[in-house]
This record gives sequence, structure tokens and C-alpha cells, in this order.
Amino acid sequence: MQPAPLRPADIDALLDDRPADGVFRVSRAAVREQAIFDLEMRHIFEGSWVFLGLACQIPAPHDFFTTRIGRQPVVVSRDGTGQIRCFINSCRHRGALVCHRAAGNARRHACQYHGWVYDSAGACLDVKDEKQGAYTDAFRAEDHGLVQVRLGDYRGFLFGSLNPDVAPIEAYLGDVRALLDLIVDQSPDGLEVVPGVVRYVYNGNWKLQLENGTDPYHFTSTHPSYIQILGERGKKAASGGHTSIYQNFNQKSISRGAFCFPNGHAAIWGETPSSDARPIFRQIEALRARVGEARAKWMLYTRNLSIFPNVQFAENAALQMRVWRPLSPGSTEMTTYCLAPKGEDRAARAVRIRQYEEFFNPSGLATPDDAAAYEDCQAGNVTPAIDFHQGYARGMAAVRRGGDEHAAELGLNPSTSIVGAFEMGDETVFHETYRTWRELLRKGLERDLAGESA
Amino acid sequence: MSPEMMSADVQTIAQGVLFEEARALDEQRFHDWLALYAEDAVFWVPAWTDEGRPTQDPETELSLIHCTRAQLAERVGRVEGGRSLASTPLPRTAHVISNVLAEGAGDGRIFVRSVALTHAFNIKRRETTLAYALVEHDLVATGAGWRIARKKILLQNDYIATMMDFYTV
Ligand code: FES
Ligand SMILES: [Fe+2]
Repeated sequence: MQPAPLRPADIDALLDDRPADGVFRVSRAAVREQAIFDLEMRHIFEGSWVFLGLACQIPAPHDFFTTRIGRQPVVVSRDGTGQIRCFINSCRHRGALVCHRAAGNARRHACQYHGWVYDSAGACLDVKDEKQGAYTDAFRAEDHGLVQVRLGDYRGFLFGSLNPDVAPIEAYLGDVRALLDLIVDQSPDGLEVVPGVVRYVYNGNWKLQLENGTDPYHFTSTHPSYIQILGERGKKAASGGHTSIYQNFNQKSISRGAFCFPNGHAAIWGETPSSDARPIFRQIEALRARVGEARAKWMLYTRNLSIFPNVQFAENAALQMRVWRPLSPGSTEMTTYCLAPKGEDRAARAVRIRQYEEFFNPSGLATPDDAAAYEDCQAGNVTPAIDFHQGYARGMAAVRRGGDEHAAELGLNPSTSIVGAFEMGDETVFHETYRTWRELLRKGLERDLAGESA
Repeated sequence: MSPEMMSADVQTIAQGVLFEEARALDEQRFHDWLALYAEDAVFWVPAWTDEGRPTQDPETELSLIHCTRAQLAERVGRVEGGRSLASTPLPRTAHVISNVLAEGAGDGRIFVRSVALTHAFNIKRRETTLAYALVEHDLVATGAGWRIARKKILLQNDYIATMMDFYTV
């Protein structure tokens, strides 16, 4: 039997959001139900902005990379004039993929089924044997170019949307832009991607990754094996310098904060236990002179930024860009890159890469344990007999609306702020994200239902 | 070792080390496995780029794993320590080593190419993963026998099922 179609009331019931009563609860169905997943695809991943990649991945004319917006394959291409475009990776003739590689450089994308050819701007150059094709004028009047997708570019962070009516990307990102600036401005020359991409699939919902990226509460219990290795290295280290930012990991002395932003974005920040292990610390005086004392301090903080719905920038020992693609309610594909300031010296770069690999890789010492935890969450979350999680309540007695003195240092106006001891393990950081999520699903479902009855 | 060492001997020595390595991993005798590595050994699993080439220079490009022997020992401690969710219960593996081609000039070093298929059974999920890789070993003769000075594992199917570690490739 088919489950009954979702009604708006079902969407409302996904959150129990009663600030006056001190209650914020998320339904366990959120990670489990196919009908919710389908709505997420239509109205979030295919109805709003999603992150595509970085302009620095395609520096030269005709460079391209391929990705997806929701379920739809797209090409992100720098055309012959240098303009970045995003178009649907599907031939206008019968729909075949026209670009088959993950990245490269190509002046032309030829569909090898019936031979239609497109340029790096997506324009159709050739309908094979068009003259002999006995086409009608109606066909000739059509544009045969690959369908262009709305593209947003904030300082080289590229976003795309299948919905042409989304708000401008600057408005969508809001104050999160200042946190992206902290990433780009670490070098006067901007960012680059360290060559090499790591892809993996975990058996869990995409929101488990979304949450984990701003979840300080799990660190000590999910990663004791990693913390232990660092502790032992610290004991063995002959002299001063730290080889990991988590040496001197002493919970008492570290404060942690979090911000929620409109449109579902969120960030956590923390003082770094051993700042001198940060590759950018080697240039710290030049950095302070260039970006100012306050922003240099923030660049040395650990910062994890989630941009709803599909990307995180996690900066602790190194800087990771992780992009995800939901495959089903219970599986998610991760595509991960190591980012670095351009022009970093060779020794600092090597330190960055080693720290990146051992923390962030699914073949490292920390990320496998996160992924295993997501899989356990998915596996344990089966029965509708249990309604809500109890996992979104920490910090509720301490969170405040608007910004705090830390937000003020960067001129941020977040929806909420919180700061406390490391052990506070705040969970209010998820609240605005879930409110946005429910709002998008609810509005989308209402549009679907209005369309059906029209 | 005699300079006129026959290539058949080189092949036999190489297979002996590779098969012993695989057996130690599959029997989860990780300290015996570590003992096969020279003190300054490097264990390297390159990543691939989006353009489709394997990374070449671990100092400037990303690897899946790039470890010294000391860091391999840390990994052994991690999987044996029972505090890593991803490693508990530890998957059971079968390393199948094939297509072994050994080259040596009788100077106490042997360069070995092989193919490794590693089946890993995730006990908790009751699922099997398969990693297939083109492998290179640099072997060195020491007073205590042949040791692995360098192992490079070029993972052909770099689309990782949840996680990988030294024992799943
Ligand atoms: S599908 Fe592309 S030319 Fe026919
Ligand atoms: Fe984690």
C-alpha cells in the first residue's frame, strides 16, 4: 500500500518549536521518510540555491567541471570570453549527457549520440546534417543551446539554482559572506584547491552531515582515538612547536560559540588550542597588517560554516570544503577538497596537507568515526513509534536573539548567538536551519497542492 | 646476497614478503604486519584528481593516506584500542595479491608491482566492500630479512564506501 500523500500538517509536525516553553524538537521522520526526501529534492535542492564549486577550479577559458543540482547533472564552464556559466548537462536533442568528465578543458561539448555540438558557453554550434534533416521552420526558430541555469558568484564561491526566481545570491548568503571572506582573504591572492579530490558515500541522511559539521558536542566522545594519538604525539615531541592544533587540547580553557543565520546557514567558532600549528600562523604578522587584528584572530579560530543546504567549510588544522549530494533518504555522496591560501610556502603546505588527510579524509583518523556515527543514527532510526529526538536542546537556556560581542568583532548580525565553555556542546545552532528547512518544504508542498487542484 | 641473484629468486622473495604482509593483515596480526616495514618506511595511497590522474607529489597534492611507519603504528593502536566507532567491530578482510612482477639487480633492493583485491566485510552492517589497487613495493634487504621501504597503493575504485584504512586496501 502506498503511504498517504503528505499534507501541510505533516510538515508542520516535523518540528515541535515552542520557544516560550523552552522546547525545540525535530521529528525522527526527518531523516527517514522517502516522501520527505522527495520534497527536499524538489523544493530545496532543485528549488533554491545550491553550492556548485569554486571559480578557482576553472581558471582558464573553456575550463569546466560537472556536478549536480539536486538530481540534475549540470556543467559549470568558463566560456571563451572568461564568463562563468552553468548549464544543464543534457543534450537538447534527446537528453544525453554531453559532458562526461568530472573536470577538464573543452572548447566544444559534442553529444556522441546523434552528434549535436555545443560550445563552452552552451550554445549549439551544430545540429548534425541539419540541411538534409527536412526540419520545419518551427524547429529552426527554437534555441537549441544547452539550458542555462541561474548562477550566483560571491567572490568565487559559485552557486546555482534550477529555480530562476530565487533571490540574488548576495541576499541568500547575507552575513555569511563575512565568514567566506575570512577564508578567501587569508592570502592576498585568494584561495586554491590542493590537487586531488576524495569522494565517499555513507549510509545515512544528508542532514546527519549537515548537523555534524556544526556539532561540537560529539568531538570528545566520537574522536577519543584521534585525541589520544595527538596526546601521545605531544608527549613524544622533543621541542616547542606543535604539529597539531589539538595539542594542548584542554577543554577548560577553550570557549566555543555559534551563530545561526537566515536561510538556514550556521557557523560555530572556537579558540584554537595550539594556534602555532596553523599553517597560516607562519605569516601571522603580515596577515595582521593586511586584514587587521580582529580578522586575523578570527582566521586563527577554528570555524565551521554550513551554507544551506549542501556545503560546509571546516577550518581547524586545515581547510576542508565538503559538498554533498543526497542519493536517498539513507545515503549521501560526499565530495571533499583541501583548500589553501594561494602562495603558501612549501613547508606550510605540506603540514597543511598531512593534517588535512589525517583529520578530514574518510581514510583518516577522525572522519571515519563521524561517518560510522551517522550510519548508526540512520540504522537506529526506524520506528515511527518514537516521535521526536532529544538532540536539539543544549544551549537553549543560554542562546540569545541577534548578535553578541563576538559577532560584533566581524560586524555580523546573526539570527541567534551563543558562547560558552567547550563542554556546553551547543545545539541551538541547528534551530534556524530546521526552521528554514520546514518552511521550504511547507511552501513547496503548498505550491504542489495548489498546482494539483488548479 | 649474491650479485648474480637469479630473477626467479627475486620473484620468490617478493612474493614471500607480499603474501606474508597480506596474511598478517587478514589475520589481524597488525604488529607482525608493522614489523615487515622498515623504520623509515612510507605507506602511500594517492588520491585522484577530477581530471582523472593520480596525484604525484604528496608534498603539494592530496593523498588518501600518506604515512610514515610511526604513523602506521598509531593507526594500529587506534583500531586495536576499541575507541574508534569505525573500527569496532573490526571488519574482516581477505587480501588477494596477484600479478606479482619483481625486479632486482642484486643490490639488496627489489621493486615489486602487484595487483591487490581487498574484500572487507563490515560485520555491523553485514556488507562487503571491494577495493582494487595497483600496488608497488620497494623492498630492502636488512640484517633481519627483507623489509618494505615503501608501499604505494593506487586505488583504482576511489569511490569509498564510508571509510577506508590501512587494512581495507
Ligand atoms: S541525444 Fe544528443 S544528439 Fe541525439
Ligand atoms: Fe567529528
